[in-house]
Amino acid sequence: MADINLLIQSAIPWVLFVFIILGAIVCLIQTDELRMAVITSITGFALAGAYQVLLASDVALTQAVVGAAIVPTLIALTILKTREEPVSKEDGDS
Amino acid sequence: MVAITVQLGALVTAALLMVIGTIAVVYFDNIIKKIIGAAFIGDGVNLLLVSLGYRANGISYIFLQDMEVNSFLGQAAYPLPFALVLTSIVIGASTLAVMLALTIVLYKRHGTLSATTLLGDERMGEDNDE
Repeated sequence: MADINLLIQSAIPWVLFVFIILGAIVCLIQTDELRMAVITSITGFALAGAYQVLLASDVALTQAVVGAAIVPTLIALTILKTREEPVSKEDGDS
Repeated sequence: MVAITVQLGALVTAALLMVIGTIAVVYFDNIIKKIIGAAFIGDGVNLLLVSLGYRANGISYIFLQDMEVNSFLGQAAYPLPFALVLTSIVIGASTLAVMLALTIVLYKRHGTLSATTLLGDERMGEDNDE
């Protein structure tokens, strides 16, 4: 039982690294843009875990907030804004 | 023979993130994907800096009351890159927000998010655009 616990503990950083790379690749090959914005948070959250494993707790806190919440929200807002019909120039420059 | 440590894994992951981000910035057509690629490059640089401060079998760099100074100095991680990265994450988020805002302005002017179409618009519409 102790062996299994040790194995799991030593495997955590590698799982996080794989999640970072796979999240980045899967995010960039999406065709649906809103799904792309959500998958960005996988990379951000795995990066936060990796910072925690690398003994940088304060950086992990900041990255968890910024990378997993703020950045996907900004990207999703941009995508929703760019799905509307653009205002043509003849309608005036209000 | 190089030992496969967590630090080496973090360095390789940072390099792969930077490569993926560069490929996205150079080859993808959608501007939002280009911006996400630029954010990935920044994340890769942050991970590189953090992994430089890591120490194997070390402890976090918080000095508690019942610690010996010498054993703390021998075990604690190097905190200077962490302080740099803490600033860099926030600045990266701010620059991402500015890039996305400029993307919205571009879309409202030209009605597309494709980089090649935007460049074509720019060259062909020089005489009748304003």
